[in-house]
Parts: sequence; C-alpha cells; structure tokens
Amino acid sequence: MFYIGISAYYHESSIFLTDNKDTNCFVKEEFFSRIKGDKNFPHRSLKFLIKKFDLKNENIKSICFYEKPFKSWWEIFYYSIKNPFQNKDFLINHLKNFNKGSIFFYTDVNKLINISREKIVYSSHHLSHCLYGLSVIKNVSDYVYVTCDGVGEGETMSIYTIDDEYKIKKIWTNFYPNSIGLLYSAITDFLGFEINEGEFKVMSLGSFGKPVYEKELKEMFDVENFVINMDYFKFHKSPSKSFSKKLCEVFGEPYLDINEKENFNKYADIASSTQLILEHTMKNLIQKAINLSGRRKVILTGGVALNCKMVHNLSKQDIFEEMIIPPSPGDSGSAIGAANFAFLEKSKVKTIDFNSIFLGPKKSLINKKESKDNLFLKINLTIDFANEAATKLIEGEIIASYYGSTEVGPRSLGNTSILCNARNEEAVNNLNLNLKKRGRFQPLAPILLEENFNKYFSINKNVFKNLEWMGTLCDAKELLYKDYASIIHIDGTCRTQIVKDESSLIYKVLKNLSSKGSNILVNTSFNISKDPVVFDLYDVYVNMRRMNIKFVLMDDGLYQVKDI
Amino acid sequence: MLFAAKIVNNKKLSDGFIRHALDEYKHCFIFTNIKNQLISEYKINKKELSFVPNHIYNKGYIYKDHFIFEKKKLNDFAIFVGANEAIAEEKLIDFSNHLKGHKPLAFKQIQNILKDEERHTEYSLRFAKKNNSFFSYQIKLTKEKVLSFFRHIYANSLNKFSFIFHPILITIIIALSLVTYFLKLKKKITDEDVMKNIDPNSIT
Ligand SMILES: [Fe+2]
Ligand SMILES: [Fe+2]
Repeated sequence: MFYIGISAYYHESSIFLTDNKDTNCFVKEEFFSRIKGDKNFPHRSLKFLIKKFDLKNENIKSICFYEKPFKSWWEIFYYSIKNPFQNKDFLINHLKNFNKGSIFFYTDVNKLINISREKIVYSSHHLSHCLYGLSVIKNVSDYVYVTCDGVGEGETMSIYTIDDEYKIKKIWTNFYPNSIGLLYSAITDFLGFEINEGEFKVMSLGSFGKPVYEKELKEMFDVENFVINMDYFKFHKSPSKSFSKKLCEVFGEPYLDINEKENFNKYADIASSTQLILEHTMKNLIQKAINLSGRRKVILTGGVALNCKMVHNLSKQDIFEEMIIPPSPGDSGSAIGAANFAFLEKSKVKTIDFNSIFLGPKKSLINKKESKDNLFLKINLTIDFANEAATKLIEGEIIASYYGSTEVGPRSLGNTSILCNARNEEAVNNLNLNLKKRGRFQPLAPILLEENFNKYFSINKNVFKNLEWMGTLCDAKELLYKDYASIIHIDGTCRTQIVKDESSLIYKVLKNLSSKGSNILVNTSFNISKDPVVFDLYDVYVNMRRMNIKFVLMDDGLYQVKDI
Repeated sequence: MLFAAKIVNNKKLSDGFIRHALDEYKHCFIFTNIKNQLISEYKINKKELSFVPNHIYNKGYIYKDHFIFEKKKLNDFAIFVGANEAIAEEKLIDFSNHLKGHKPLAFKQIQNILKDEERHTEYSLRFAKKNNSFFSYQIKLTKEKVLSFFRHIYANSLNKFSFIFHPILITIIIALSLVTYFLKLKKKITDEDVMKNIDPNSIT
C-alpha cells in the first residue's frame, strides 16, 4: 500500500510516494514539464507515478496534501481585508486566484485517479515541514523542531516538540505578516532578483558588502520580538510589488543594474545588512525554541533554512548542541512531510522509516534502455571506468554524472551533477561562467571524501551532519587557498559536500582522483540557469550538447554523447 | 519538441525533434543576448523583461496537464509546427528590420535564426503534405494559423480585459469586509496535541 504526499500550487510542485519498505519516489513537476519552479498541480508527475506503480484506489492508503487549502488562502486574505480600500489590488488578485489554488485539490487528483474521498487527507503547512525533518534523524524526542518560512496558513515561525510516542506539541507560533522570510524576499525583489529564486543570490552578494544598513533594517524588523514594520512593505497591498516607497527612501532606487560598480557595492551592502538581520532573528528564534523546550538539538525547516550562510554563522555562536537542516527544507520537500503525516495519522505511534536522503527515482526506473544506446557511445564499461573518469577530470575535462537515485533538494549531490577538477582554475571558471551562466559572485561548490575534509576545511561539529548534503558553509584552511583557490568565496567560505558512502560512484571517482594528485572536485547541478535539473536521458543529451560536455558517468560506465 | 522526441516511436523522427529542440535552445540563447544588450543600452528595468518560466502557463503557451504532442496525431503536429514556425518567421523578419541599421551583429544573428526556422517550416510542412490530402492539409493549416493568431491576442491582452470582473469582485470584497469587521478570530499560539486536534479530512 502506498502513501502519497503532494505539495503544489505555490512553490515548485512535488510528489512523494512510499510503501515504507523499499519503494520511495520523489518527483517534481518541473522534471517533466521542464519549466523551472513549476507550481501547478503536478499532473505530469502523478501520471508518471500512476504508470510506474500502477496506482489505483485499491493500492493507495492515502493521499495527503501538505497544507489546509482554505486556511492557507484565507489567512492572508483576512489580514488584508481589514483595510479593503487600501489593499484592494491585492484582494482582487487573491479572489481571482481562489479557483486556481489548492481548494480544488481533490478534483485535480480525481481527474487522474478515481479515489475515494476519505483517502484524501490534509496536513498543516508547518507540521508538514516539521514531519519532513524526521527524515534525517532517529531519536525524535532529543530535538526541538523549528520552522521558519515566508508564510504558510498564516504562520511564519513555529516551534514543535515530539515525544517517543509521537505525540506532537506546538509550543509557539508567530503569525503573518511578521515574517523574516517575506522581508528577505522583498529585499530580493528590490535588488532586482526573482522572488523564490534570487534569495541565494542575495546571500552570496551579501559577502561582498558591509552591513551598513543594520540600524535601518532593525527599524523594519524587530529581531527580538519578531515583529515587522509594514510601513516598509507592500506584499499585503499589491500582488506585484513587495516593498513600499518608504523602503526606497531608505535604500534608494530599486532594480539598478549591478554590473555597474557603484550599484554593485551599494546593493552588496543592502544584501549584507539583510543577511545580518536574518541571522540575528534566527539566533533569537532558535534560542527561544531551546528555552521553551529545554532541548539543545534543533531541526530547522522552512524556506529560510536554505540560507546556508546563516547556518554557518549561527554554528559559531554556541547556541545549540546540534542543528540539522534536511536536504529540502522548503515547500517542495514538504511533500515528504505530508506523506509522513498520512502515515502517522494511520499508525498513530510511528512515522515512515527513512534510510536514505536520496529519495528520488532510480535512473533505471526513469529511462528505457534503448534511449541510452541511441544517444550515447560506450567509452568504458569495465570496472575501471571510475578511474578513467578521474583521469579525464585531471586532464581538465568537464564531466557530467547521471546515476543512482535522483536528489530531493535544490542541490545536486553527485548523482545528477556536473563535475570538474577543482584544482584546475581554467576548468572551474569555464564551468561557472560559460556553461552554467551564473553570476560572477556565485562560487561553485566543492565535493570531497570525508577523510580529506579536515585538511582543507574547518567547521563547528554542531552542524557537521549537514555537510552530507551541502546544508551549510564551512571555512577554507590555508592549504585550500594554496591549491584550490578558485572555489573559495570572497568571505573565505565554501559550500562543501562530504562523501561517506564507500559504495557510491562519486566515492570511487574521488578515491581515484586522490591517487592522481587532486582531492577535490567541483560539483554543480546538472542544468543551465533558468532550466530545471535534467531528469531523463533526453534531457541529459540535450543539456550536454548545449553545454558542449562530452562525457557522462552513468551507473554502469562512462559514456560519450553521440552526434545525431 | 523535446517531449515529442521522448515519446515518438521512430528513431529518425526522434533525432529530428532533438535537432529541432537544440536549434530552439540556441535561438533562445541568442535572443537573451540581444535582450541583455537592449536592456543595458536603453537602461530598461531588467525586471520588466526578465523571463519567468511559470508565465508560459499563464499566457496559454503550454497546457497544464499535457503536451500538444500527446493530443495531436503526428500529421497534425507537423502542421501545427509548420504553421507556427511560419508565423514566427514573419515576426522575426519584422523584428530584424528594426535592428537592421543600428545593430548589425544582432541583425546577422537573426538572419541565421531565420535560416533555421525556414528549414523547420519546410521540413514540417513537407511531411504534413505527404501525409494529408491537399484539401485537408489546407484546412488544417488555416485552422492552426487562426488559432495561433488568437493565442497571441490572448497572451498579449491577458490583464487588459480582466477589469470586466472587477465590479463583481469589489462587491464581494465589500460584503466580506463587512462580515469580517465583526469577526474576532483567535489564533492558537500553542497546541498540546497536534495530531489529536487536527481534522485530517478538513480543508480549514
Ligand atoms: Fe513553507
Ligand atoms: Fe523552429
């Protein structure tokens, strides 16, 4: 029997299916539609799952939506309708979207599977985040669960505890519009980046500036009591603009071209100040969670938790004993939390057993064998192929990887990546600027064996676990500057991933690489900016041709793109 | 096009679709470059011209639950592609004429795109002609051209006519604001037993 969780309509849509035995399958709608951040009901993903697992009413235990549809729609409407004339643009737009949203979730599901109504259940937004957090730990009662995002069902921050019998208590909540997540997004908007996509860029940009606007930003958000000053924001008034004139009086003109040096410096200062305010807020929030729960181990979820720089800076302040951010803490990962809710709701005293963070489908489930033969040439299918790949990497080749199960979060962890030798500066720069077409202020991330980590990096052990999925930054040591300078961010940090699993292909490649004089690879997601990560072999082929990458590592060997 | 390549049961066609998709990606890259040049030259607010992938849905260029290739027969798909490529060609010629005098490089790049598009049109329509009677070919081609015309009108006037519903929406808002004025909804800051207090079948 399958449990299915769905997250959709607001952020990138996704579905997670599990039988709590050997079958786990997490897919995003963007994998199929090829529209990055696709937020529609995941029709295509559900069709894929129906076909692959022969889904029908009889073999589905329940399908869970990650939040309460009406509540989610209503809570922000309720806030704005208190001033109907001032906020009319927002209200009109929100009313228009009523029928496009999750209210008709059951109907949308039913178009594809005939399922009985009682099998459709609804979790709660922050509860789904919290229950996803359980996927990376064992002793649930050791932790306090903190969620912080833009807004979900009118909540912006919440704190939960869970005991060994899986009784869940919510011990504190903060409400819309008091949202540090929405503030961060509004600044993202001001700086000319896309909301829900550009937040990473703001984080990176911040490292180039100084927090000279700390005082002004503290006027906009009270970091101790978690209260926002709405004079500076407009997201409750306007569907298209999130900041007000008053904010522009403080920061000047929005949407300037940051390719000009003067603008760049100014915007970097704004980004840096915003980052600082976020960190102060999160420090106080986590402190509050620890005080209220008496637990010093923290699971942090919600979109804000994707800010790995904040995680890194908080780790140095001796607030918690441990903090873990699961690989996909945003709304798309909540599909997994929703499935977990469905399971717990039936079992009462148990949640799903997760024994891997790679919850996506195996590449062999996605593709037909002929596709591989049609599109790729076999280069090396002997047991030695990882070694040949390492040799090519040493020679300066950029190689794609496509094997194992697909990753869950926004970061590729080696299974669906593009790799190059981090020691080869030319290859690294070529990959970042020409192939991936990223901004010059966004550095690429290193991947290495756990045993080599301490040679090159340092990190506080309270966030060490997150290195397995790039959930935090760490600091570069002297030796890294000597040989691998091109992967170090301007502030001396790296978003490093460590590899522990000796049976994984990336482990073998790295091991071979070490014997040839380099210990670190650059690992970046297998896509071009504004495109989703590759899903099937056709995407692999097309993306390799577009980026002019010749070789790809697959489960059984090293392949080369054919010319067709 | 990429999706068609994935599911068509004919290796030669599939390869052709892939080549077509690669061409389109290349064109997209060229357009993005021209756009960026224009943005910096005319000091346009880059956000106004930024590409938001989800807008493709709103503008009706792609269906939410299926791809065109799933719903059309191969012959009809070829006519659809051919007709739309031809329309795109005309628009591109117009656009490139605007650039002719002062942007020689962009003009040249667009001429190259035009060559590709001509090839696409020709190939698709030749295929369609071969597999349709003369009469049905002409009818289908005209139908696709008309549909495409309306699709563009729809995409370009999306927000222009939405005000028609505003009086109704404003009435609803006024009514709701009166009701909510008297509503005192309490928010729960804590919850002693979340799983017990939640109704899993409720949407509120
Ligand atoms: Fe959320
Ligand atoms: Fe074309």
